[in-house]
Amino acid sequence: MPKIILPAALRGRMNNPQDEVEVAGATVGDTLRALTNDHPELNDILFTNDQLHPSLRVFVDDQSPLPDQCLATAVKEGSEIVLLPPIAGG
Amino acid sequence: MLTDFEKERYGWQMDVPGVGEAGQEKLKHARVLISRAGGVGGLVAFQLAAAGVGTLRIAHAGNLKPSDLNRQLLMTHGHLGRPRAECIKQTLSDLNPLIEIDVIAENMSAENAPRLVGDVDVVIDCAPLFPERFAMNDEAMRQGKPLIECPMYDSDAYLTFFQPGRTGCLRCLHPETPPEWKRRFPVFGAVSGTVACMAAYEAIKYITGIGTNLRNTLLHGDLATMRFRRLPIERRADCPYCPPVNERRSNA
Repeated sequence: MPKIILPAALRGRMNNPQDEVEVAGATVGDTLRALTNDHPELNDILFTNDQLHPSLRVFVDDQSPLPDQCLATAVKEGSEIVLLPPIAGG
Repeated sequence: MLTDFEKERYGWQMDVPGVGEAGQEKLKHARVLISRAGGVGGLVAFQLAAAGVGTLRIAHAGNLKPSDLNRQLLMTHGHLGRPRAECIKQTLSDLNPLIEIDVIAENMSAENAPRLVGDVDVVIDCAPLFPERFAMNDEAMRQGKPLIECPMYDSDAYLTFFQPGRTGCLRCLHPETPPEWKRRFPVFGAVSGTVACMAAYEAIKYITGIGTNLRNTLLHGDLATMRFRRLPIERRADCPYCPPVNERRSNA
């Protein structure tokens, strides 16, 4: 299954923090929906009006899909999806 | 020209291949702006002062609070309740009296950014609020100045080097302020200091010409898992804040 890598900025919002989770899905959208089904507390950080939050960066196997194609980007067994929300600690 | 004392003081770093006296002269004549000298910016300033960057301009308002002291290593217990700007100036002057330290008791805003960015060579963004970061970004892009972005949160550290005309900018990376961002964030000084030292070296590399800057690349380090990744980032084609890719600007 694809794997979602969760940075500290997202782990801190999870009821049961995990560094990474394996989720089923054929696209980025599938996997993120599976993630928020299991962890609904992340929904408002990842999505706004059913679209990816514009400031959330998503990387698939160390590549950056175009924002408007991100949710439809195909993933495969072993794919690593990295989610990086904006942070500003200084 | 470097003095004999400067050659002795900076001798070990002048031994780094590609630096030498010429590189140290570049550092001596460089001007760097740092937005806030907290857990990240304070360590950036400390490293650049130690390295002999000729002029450091630091923007940081307010008085020192006890809750600053776990990470803001330029600050000292004896300055509690007094302006942070005083403490920043004193600590850096004690470390290196050979350089100019211009501490301004203001935080970055759209109003003061043109003045503060105006005559520097590199800008380093260490503010804890997105409006300050965006104000600095927008002015750096407008004036064609390189911007080192080095935020952290908990065990996360991000680092990238924005250069107008050659990369995107902060607005390309994160177009909007996240509504959930809070002024108070979880932090050990060891984490903020780690990203700070890497950001300082990005500035040193740019000024001296050694190494390779993190252009079009976002370094993400998670110090809890010690997983580090280099991730590709890009200029947004419709970004209204970036100059055109091929437009030559100062320092480009």
